[in-house]
Amino acid sequence: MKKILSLFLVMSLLAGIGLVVAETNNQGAEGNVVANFNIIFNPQILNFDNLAPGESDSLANTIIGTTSNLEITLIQVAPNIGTIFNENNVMFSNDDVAFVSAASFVAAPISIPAQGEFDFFVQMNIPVGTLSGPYAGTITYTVMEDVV
Amino acid sequence: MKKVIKLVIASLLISIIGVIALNTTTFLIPKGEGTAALSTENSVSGNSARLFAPLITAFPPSNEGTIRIEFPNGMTLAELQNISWTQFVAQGYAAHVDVLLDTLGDGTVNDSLVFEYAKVKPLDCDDTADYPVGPINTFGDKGIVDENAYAWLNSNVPGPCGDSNFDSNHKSLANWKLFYPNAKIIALEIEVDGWISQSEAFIDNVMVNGELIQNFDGVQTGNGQVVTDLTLIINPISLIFGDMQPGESKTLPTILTVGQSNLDVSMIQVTPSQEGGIFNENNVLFSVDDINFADVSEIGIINIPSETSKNLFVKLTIPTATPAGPFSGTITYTVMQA
Repeated sequence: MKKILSLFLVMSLLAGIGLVVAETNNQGAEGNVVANFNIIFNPQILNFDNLAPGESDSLANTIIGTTSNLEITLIQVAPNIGTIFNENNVMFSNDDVAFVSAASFVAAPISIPAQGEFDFFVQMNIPVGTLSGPYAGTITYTVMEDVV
Repeated sequence: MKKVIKLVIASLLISIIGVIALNTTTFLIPKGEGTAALSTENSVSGNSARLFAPLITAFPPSNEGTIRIEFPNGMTLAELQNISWTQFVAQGYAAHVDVLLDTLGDGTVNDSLVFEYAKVKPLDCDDTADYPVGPINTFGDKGIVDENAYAWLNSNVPGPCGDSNFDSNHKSLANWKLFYPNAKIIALEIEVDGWISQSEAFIDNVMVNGELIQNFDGVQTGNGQVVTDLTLIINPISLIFGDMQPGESKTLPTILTVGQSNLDVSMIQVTPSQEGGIFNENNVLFSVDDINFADVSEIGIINIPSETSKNLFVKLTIPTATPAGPFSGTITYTVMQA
């Protein structure tokens, strides 16, 4: 009986010590995922053919995404040299057949999946009566994270 | 006797020597434990592409950071003149370029030409003493990829220079073109790998044949050249004056129609043929209103806006005492952009 009681006391002590050893300590963690808005334009420079007034030329375009799902929400066209590289004359198409303005083009969702690509066409139209000479401009694509 | 005047227009041909622009598609491809990603560090302007590859300790996989440039419209080895890029070598071995070739015409990569720092100059080959670090243009003191730059064949041994097997497949770009006259380029791969050491380079301003292909800046530009539409349609193409007696005059209407550009008829010339000599600038006069006629030196510039027509009246006077017989000639209209 005495041995049994002693064993019980020892076990109780061990159990008590065990509870102290098993005490938990929590480590917090926090952070913030930010979207990667980088995209790569292909081609980076759209070199259109020599065009006479009334003519047009379209070029295939590919935008390569990086590590976030992105959506193009706005496309702006602005001239740098001359005035004709503008939103009236630079048009966009998914199929190289039906071309629309930049505003109409982005009316439908344009998704660039992470590490994916988006293929489309850019067309330059030279208005009738345009004076000969060089022209140039910039196309700016505004992207936001595609959360759908 | 029918007198026929033939009118012709002198076509002004403008030859424009243009640069054939390359159509390329750029991809960033990490392999193994390598990295290829856009970066704002060590760029010439805007962004760069950071290529990183840890040392390869177990193969496969190969650790590589790669910029892959494809040519959707195709490109042949013969068309390749030069490749260059700026790179900031942060550590290890500088980025090199593999030219992936279709040598068999089957549309796949059959072999590759490797242009790398230690092998592009055969007279300074295996120069391992001073691998470049920091900002350099392509291969720094070894230059860029051009006709004189040497490449080794990827299917062969990678070196060293002096090894007969290696040397037999170590040629300049110019000589590789002769060796593979029909080869097509599937892609260019600018990359760092981990074969020599852990390597990291920031790439910017990639150029092929002197043309900027990619600077990773996230800005797309467009450019081109408007050329004048010099179309001038003349109706009728032949002025048929018919039989006329000396001292008689006859006026025929002509309609000049232009195309898509605003044009000026800046000069009119009247040239008699050998068939009679009276169809000349003394006897042929012009008018825009059928009232006031002037000779070619006085008619002045006739402006015709794009996609419109202008009436022109041509009056021929047969000088008195002109012998009977046929005559003919040519009126030449010279046009220029208004």
